[in-house]
Parts: sequence; C-alpha cells; structure tokens
Amino acid sequence: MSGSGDEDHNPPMMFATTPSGYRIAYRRHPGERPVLLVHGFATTGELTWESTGWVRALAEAGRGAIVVDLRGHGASSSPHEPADYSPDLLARDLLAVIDAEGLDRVDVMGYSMGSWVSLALVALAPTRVDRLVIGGVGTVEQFGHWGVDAVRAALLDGADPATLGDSPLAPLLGSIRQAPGVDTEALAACVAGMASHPLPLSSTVPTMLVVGDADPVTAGRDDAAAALGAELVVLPKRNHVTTLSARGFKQAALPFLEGAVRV
Amino acid sequence: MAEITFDLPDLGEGLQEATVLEWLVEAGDFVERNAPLVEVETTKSAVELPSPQSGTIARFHVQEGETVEVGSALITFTVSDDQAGIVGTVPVEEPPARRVRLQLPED
Repeated sequence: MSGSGDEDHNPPMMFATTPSGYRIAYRRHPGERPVLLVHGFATTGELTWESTGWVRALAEAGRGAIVVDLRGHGASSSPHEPADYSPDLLARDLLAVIDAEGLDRVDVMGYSMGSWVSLALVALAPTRVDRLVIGGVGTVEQFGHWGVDAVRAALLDGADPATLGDSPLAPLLGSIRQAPGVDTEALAACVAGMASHPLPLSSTVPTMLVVGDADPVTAGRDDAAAALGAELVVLPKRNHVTTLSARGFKQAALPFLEGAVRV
Repeated sequence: MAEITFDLPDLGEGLQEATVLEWLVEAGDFVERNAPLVEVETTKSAVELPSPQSGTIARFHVQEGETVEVGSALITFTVSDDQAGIVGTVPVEEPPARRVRLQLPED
C-alpha cells in the first residue's frame, strides 16, 4: 500500500518543446477537462500532486490531470543561468504544454512557487485559463525575503541552512543536497531568477487561495486574496507541507473548479 | 468473515516512521481498494496512502497525531472469507467506482 502503488499505471512521461528549445516533462492522466498542476520550488510534479492524492481525487471527480515538471526540476530541461528563470518564462513553458496537448483552455492549480507561475500564466494568456486555484503563498517573495545569497549558499556550498532561521526553506534545503538527481545549480539559478522579478499578484479569472493556518510562507494572505479578488480558504493547523495533502484543500478546490459556490 | 491487518509501508528514502495526520475513513466504513485511506507526514513530505484492500474498516492501530514505525500495524480490515483466501496474490486492477465521499467543510 505504498503511495507508489499506482506507478505501474502511470501514463508515460511526455515532453513539450518550448520556442527556445527546452524540453518540459509532463504526464497526462486520463479524464475529462484535465487540470494543469504546477508544483513549487525544489520538488517535482509527481511528489507534489501524485503522492498527495490530488490526481486520484481529480479522477474521482471525473477530471483528468496534466502533471508538469517546471524547468530546472524533475525530468525537464534545467538551464543554469538565472536569466532563464522568471515567473513569465516558466509560465511560457506551461503554455507550451497546453499547446502540445491541443487544449484551448484549462483549469490550473499551483502551489507555493507554482502559484506565482500559475498567476504569470493568467497574465500571459488570460483566455487560456478558466479557473485558478493557488496555495501556499501570501504577499512575500520567499527567496528575497530569506536572502538569495543565503539560499544559494545553502544549495551550492552546503552552508548551514540554520542561517535561514525559521524559514520553511531551511529543512527543505537541508534535504535537497542529499536527494538523488537534483540539479542544485539549476535550483540556485531558479532562486536568483525568480527573486529578481516582481510577484504577479493579480488575476483576471475566478481564483481561490488556499493556505495553512500554521504556514509562515503565507504571510499577508488576506492582502493577497484581496489583490487577487480570490476566495480565501484557511486550513486549521496545517503548515507549508501538510496543507498540500489535506483533505480540506481538496474539499475546497474540487467544487470551486466545477464552478460551485461554497456555502 | 476474516480480519487482515496492514502495516505502515516503506515510504522510501530511508524514512523509518510517519505521523498520522488524518484518517480518511471511519471504523465501520466499507472502503474500496485504492480509495484514499490515510494522510501521513514524514520528515520530508506529506502523502496520502490509498487503501491496499477492499473491505470494512475494523479498527485503527494508530490515532491521529501519533507516530508509527515502518512495519508496525496501521489498520485492520474485516473482509469476506473469499477475499481473505486470495491475500498474497496480485490483486486484479479494476477502475475504481466513483465514490462520493467529499463533503463541504463544516465551517
């Protein structure tokens, strides 16, 4: 009963090619009106959306899913230049995946850094996104907040991530360097690139923001929801990691994606 | 009728234990194989484990908030004798029937 029990039945890894020649990896899980799922920093689509039960929950609701690996992550191209990373550039990669699948419009879900990429996608191609659910963000860009140099040093030089204080990045960075197959140079470039661009804190499509009550990354959540015109859902006792797998997140997001009004 | 107990599976990456965040079923529920069973947190991530078995939930061995080691008892199912007899064989993969367990939050 391991969480990997469905791996044998996973659809094959596909690749969309961007105009600049990068390859963006994704899996298309069967089902109608697939939801594009966008993971956060230093993880993968599979760890974020498959292990946590999201693909299963969408399937039960009759919905398909497109699980991507952002550039710099998982099986996608991983350039090492900070100039290759921004919310807009990563959003263009998502557009390449949507195009490759021949879809006119999709619902989109993003978490943490993936929320910013999803919002950039709305700004880039507002007619291609129907409804948007994002989570794990507030009004604070985390890399700049904790210090790009400190984050990069923890990634590249093994500097003690304790210098990052109580940042949720600290335990993450501590484990990343030992994880197999992780391109720390690409992640360091991602940190620098993303931090050098303003957060795309606006939305022109119906938007829901889901945050854990115990997640400091979501500081400013009320202001963020107001700026986005988003419905705000706060999950009690959940932190940045455990929000993602929470049943409450699914119970809020799935009806929202169907256009239901919450009571 | 017979009982089958499942242990916490190996979650990979050398993880030795996990904490139960939330049970997604209740004692007495009939649960189909691959339906969401329990949400657990490790030092690295949070994951939702699907049910390894179709059957009725007899009892939990770990309460929410408690930590359990890999290989320790997690949950016991009550199953028909027919099903008990085939344990150990590779289950036939069937598309899960649609289950409507989702409810709006109570707040």
